[in-house]
Parts: sequence; C-alpha cells; structure tokens
Amino acid sequence: MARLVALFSVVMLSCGACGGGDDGDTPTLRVFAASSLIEVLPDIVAAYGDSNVELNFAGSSALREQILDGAAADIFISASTSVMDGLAAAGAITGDPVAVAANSMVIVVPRGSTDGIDGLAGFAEPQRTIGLCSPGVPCGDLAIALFEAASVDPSVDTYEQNVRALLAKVELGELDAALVYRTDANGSDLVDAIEPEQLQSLRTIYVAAILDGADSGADPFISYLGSPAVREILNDAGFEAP
Amino acid sequence: MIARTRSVAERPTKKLLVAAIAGAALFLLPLVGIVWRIPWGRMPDILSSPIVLDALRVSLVSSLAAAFLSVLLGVPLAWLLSRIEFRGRSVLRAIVTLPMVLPPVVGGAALLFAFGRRGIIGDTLESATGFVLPFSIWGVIVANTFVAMPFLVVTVEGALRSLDGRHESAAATLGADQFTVFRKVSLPMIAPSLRAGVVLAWARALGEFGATITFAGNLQGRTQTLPLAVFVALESDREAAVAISVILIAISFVVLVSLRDRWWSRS
Repeated sequence: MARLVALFSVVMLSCGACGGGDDGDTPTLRVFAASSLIEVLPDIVAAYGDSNVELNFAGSSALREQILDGAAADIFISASTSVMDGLAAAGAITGDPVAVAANSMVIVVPRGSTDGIDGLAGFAEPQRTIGLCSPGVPCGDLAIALFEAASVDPSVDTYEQNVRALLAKVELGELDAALVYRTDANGSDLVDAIEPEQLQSLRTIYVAAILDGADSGADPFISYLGSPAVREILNDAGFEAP
Repeated sequence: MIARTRSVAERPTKKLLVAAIAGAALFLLPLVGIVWRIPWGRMPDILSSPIVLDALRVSLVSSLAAAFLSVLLGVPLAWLLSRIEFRGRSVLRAIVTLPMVLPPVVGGAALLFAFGRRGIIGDTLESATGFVLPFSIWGVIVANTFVAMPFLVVTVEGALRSLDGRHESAAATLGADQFTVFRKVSLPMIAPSLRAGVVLAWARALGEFGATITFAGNLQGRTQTLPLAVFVALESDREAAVAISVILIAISFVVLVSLRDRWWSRS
C-alpha cells in the first residue's frame, strides 16, 4: 500500500508541468475559438509571436456553454454574431465584439463524385445521403437560413455537431453532399466544392470579444486580430472581409 | 454491522471506511449534481416532447436489439474462446475485448472503414443488396453491439472456464453431441452469469454515444438515441439535457438495482 501511494505521488509530481504555463512570468492567454478556425488561427498566433497563447477549438455554441459554466478563457472568437449576443446578454464579455472575418457556404461532395448535385434543390432528393450542421450551431443556422431563402426542404440524414465532423463524413464518402464553410472546403484535398450563386446571399460574421475577468494580454491580441497582417492570413485561407 | 466492525482491529477498518466513502462520493456527487439541476417545472413538457419520445424509442429498440445480438453471437464466441484450443486464441480474445478499452469514437471510425459505404465490405454490401448501415437504425444497432458484446463475452467465457468439466463429460459419455451438451448442460449451469452478461451488455448499449454518433450519425427519430439527444441539448437547452439525463439514469438505475438482487446474488 505504501509503495502504491509512493508510486502515485511520483506520477503526480513528475506531472508538475501538466498544469500549463501558469507558473511562468507571462500569463497564458486562453483563446476559445470556433472549430472552423482550426486551420487558420494557429498561423495567426504564430505570426503574433507570443508563445503563451493557448487555443481551444469547438463548435461556437459548445464554447458559449463552457464559458457560461465558468470555463477559464480570455478571448472568444465565435462563428456567428448570435452566439456572441447570447454571451453579451449574460454579461460575460467586456467591451464590444470586433468583427474579424466573414465566411460563406459551399456544397461539398467527395472528391471525384459524379453525383452532379448543382444547387440546394438537390438536398431535397431523398435518395441522396446528406448532412448538415445541427440547428443552434452557427454553420447549422446559416444552412437552414439558406434553405429557407431558397424555399427548399432538405431531406437530411444526419445533423453533425460541428462543421469539422460534417466535413469528415463527406471526406470519408459516407455523405453524398453537405453544406460547409468555403474555408473548410478549401482546406480539404478529399472534397470537391460547388458554389452556386444562391449560396452567396447569406454569410456568417466571425466576432471576437474579451471575456469578463480576462488577462490584460487580451487587449493587444484583439487589436492584432483587426490588423492588416491578420486580414492577409485570413484572405489566404479563403475568409472574406467582414 | 457496527458491532461487527468494532470486534476487529479498529484502525485499519477506519482507513478502509474513509477510502470507501471517498470512493462512493466520486459516484454519488455527480448524481446529486444532476438531481440538483432538475428543472421540475419543465419536466412534464420536456419528457413528453417529440425529441425525447423519439430518442427513447430509438434507444430502447437499439439497446435491446444489441443485447439480443450479443447473446446470439457472443455466447458462441465465449464457447469458442473457452472450449476450443487453437492457435491465436489469446489474440482473438484480445481483439474481442478491445472495444472495452478503445475510445468509442475510434470504434465508430473503425466501423465506418469496415461497414461504411466506402468500407471494406460496406461497399460490396451496398452494391449487392442496397443495404446501407451508416445513418440508419441498423448502424446504431451495430455500433451498440460492437461496444456492448465484449461485456457479455467476458462474463460468459469466465463462467464457462470456471465450470467443472465433470457434468459435460458425463453427458458426453451418455451419448449427447457437443451442441446438446452445451445447450442442455453448460448453458443452464452458467445461467446467472449469462443473465448478468446480458444486463451489462444492454446497459452499455443504452449509454453508448461515441461509436453511434461517428458511425450512425445523428437524426431525430432515426438514429438519435437518448445520449445523443443529451449531447445536442447540452449546447442548446441545458435544462432539457438534464431532464433527458435523468430518464437515462432512472431507467438504468431501476434495471440494475432490481436485476442485481434477483439475479446476480443467486450464483
């Protein structure tokens, strides 16, 4: 028993660094960001030059719930203004949210697919296996708004919780078609994107905000997000200006 | 009970008790946490909503089907592992029990690679029969069986191994073939373990999440089970998530408590 306790202590002590960089001089800046930023945000942070920025990616709605539940974060970058509005209403952010980028949706099919889908109407044909993001998640809300604008009633086979999970199922060839952000389609070698005019009518705006009780390092990072350098990185990844 | 603990050495007992209480607290406190958050006023509305009723139906159908399939395929597998000597038996045993330690999401992805529309045999299956597992209730059942059956196999195999071989030999001497011996002698003797294995497998299937959402997707009324409904609700309606969790806990609790006393103690 004593040996077991000793072993346990050794394991715990050897993990002294597991708690993150909190014991360093520079406090860690914790950024919670929408999962559609998973490819581009690390590049932005690298260009920012501060190695103490910690990134946590998930669906914007999941992150909102985590923040409302008291998760320690300094900055939140949401894939939609409505999710951020929810946090603002709860008094969880300080200052005004800053618009960082915009994104629109494209239809993706597995690379080389001969399916021939060319517009939203194709999502209403039941023989196609199609997926969307869940309602309540920004990419789901935007997709549903697009279908409403086009008066199409999609016959959906699965609602995925975030855009990356949805994209993965198209990449695997399990879904015949799905609606994802243009940037997600750009970042994948395994899908082909189709961009009918009707998808250009609506877009989502990414907004960043400093969370209540954030570290002072949050202000310069938010300002940096609005800089021309970041604008260029975002453009290269396929994001539009807000 | 207090009188009895006093009669043995006092100090070690106290140590054990403290550790036992800490252990129990680990399970009790999260339960209290959920019950604490129950939105009593909204419970009737949430529990009678189409989302919850659909999820309840999908959950019951798929978990019961998985328990049934686990018996149908798992008992012969347990027999094979416990009664037949062959090369690679320990490897097969490891493969069969792998889903118990594998992250279910990985299991779900592996199922896609095998039975998905572009999987090893899923492709052939679709072109030959038009049958597609992902995004259907059959996909949910397969995912549930994949994670649940190992619990039954392990339980039944253990029981078969610990079975004294004399009754089986006696029956064989009297002219019964191997299948008859298994059905008429071995199975009745391990009945309590088989029941325990079925309950464990069913309970595991009822709580299945990761493999299901990865392999079968998430669609209300078709593939959305109670755990998936909880997951979706956690991001949109926290109170509904708590309410659905409470049903899951209630179903599992009632079944586990009632069956444990009736079945497990008999062995």
